[in-house]
Amino acid sequence: MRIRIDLNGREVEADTVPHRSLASFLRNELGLTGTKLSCEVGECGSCTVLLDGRPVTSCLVPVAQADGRSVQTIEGLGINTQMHPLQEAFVGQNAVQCGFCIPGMIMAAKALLDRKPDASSEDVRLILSGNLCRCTGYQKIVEAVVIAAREVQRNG
Amino acid sequence: MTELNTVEYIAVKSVAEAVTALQSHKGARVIMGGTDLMVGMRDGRIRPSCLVDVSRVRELIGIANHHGSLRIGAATKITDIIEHPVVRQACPALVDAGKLLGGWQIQNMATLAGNVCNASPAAETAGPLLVLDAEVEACGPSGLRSIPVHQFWLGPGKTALEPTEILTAIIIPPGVDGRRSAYQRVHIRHSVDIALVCSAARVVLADGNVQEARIALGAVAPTPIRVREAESYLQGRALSEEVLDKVAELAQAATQPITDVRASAEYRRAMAGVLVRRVLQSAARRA
Repeated sequence: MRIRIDLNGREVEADTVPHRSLASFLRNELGLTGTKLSCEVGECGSCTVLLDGRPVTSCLVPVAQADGRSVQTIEGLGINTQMHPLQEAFVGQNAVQCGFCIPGMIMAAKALLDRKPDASSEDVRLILSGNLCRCTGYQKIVEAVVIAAREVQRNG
Repeated sequence: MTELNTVEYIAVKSVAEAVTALQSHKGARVIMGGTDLMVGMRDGRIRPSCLVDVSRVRELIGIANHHGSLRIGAATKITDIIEHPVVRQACPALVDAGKLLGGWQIQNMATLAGNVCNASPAAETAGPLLVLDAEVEACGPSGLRSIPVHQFWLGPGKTALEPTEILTAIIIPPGVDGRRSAYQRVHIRHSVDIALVCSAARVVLADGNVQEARIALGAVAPTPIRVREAESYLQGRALSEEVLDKVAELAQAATQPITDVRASAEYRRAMAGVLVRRVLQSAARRA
């Protein structure tokens, strides 16, 4: 099946198996390994990407369902010299331990800030409750998102 | 890279096309949000010959409120249901359940119909639909039919749908006053967990007394159940401590729980009593 997606603002076309997961498609066919695969049953959130702006666990999305839609991954968020406020805050707060859960955490957090720039730490805890960190560094992750929210608001 | 089995994938544009695809492909499965099916296929528990993707069928998406009934299209996402102003006002129990279904990511993919068709005894939305007297609308080769939701689940993973039928909508019939309804569960993790026990309740009050009651329990029997003995006992009574004690006792008696990795039968039975009290009180506090 021919798939066409708007990937991080660029049109991408590829031939693939329609029921392959979006996560596997991104990682194995497009080489975008920023999206992590961990539990592969939708429980850990590490494969979170934004599909038409909404966070989804891409391990459970058949790639056919992404056809014709927009997909945002961690690769589209920022680069080393120009990071997204969320990335700046995660670095600044030392919110990253092993780092495996972080792309998923950041993408879910981005979806929250896109909808609710004045998100409170309770909002952050609730929306990140679908993302597991096995290093259990949640406190700093929550703080980083709250700091990024302030930064996003300040810059309008 | 995991090798994928060869599965035919048909993305249909209408219910009629979906039914035709199901008729012409033995062993086909309907896919909506994929949150249960993709997991089952990955484990090898579910091996469909063909996937009929109805996630973009327009007539299956959306919530319509007409002539007092509420029609939730089969492919409507959980997020769109729990954010819908009419659903929030008319069916708060369904909103409670939707918020606990998976996490935000899952709610953005999963559908109400998918949760119903997966037929888990612990399905989040089952209790709310039982207490709201919901009807399942299904379409097959001979047209539409309506099935009361309490007759829809036949056992774990088993429903009243024929292999060539597709669930098209969930309907809350006119005259069902769902404003005082609630859902709660006992769980370990707030998100992406399966209920150890769950319960939904709906009451209609008149002068502080229960005029009509519905009580449902999940994860305590092979299918989600109604507790009819407790419902009729409640009629005409106020929700006093003594009455709630009796309701909890009747609810526990209606359970046939099993012991599994998540909880023991004894714990499930005990929690069924606790939950029924809480959920009734929570429902009664709503207006």
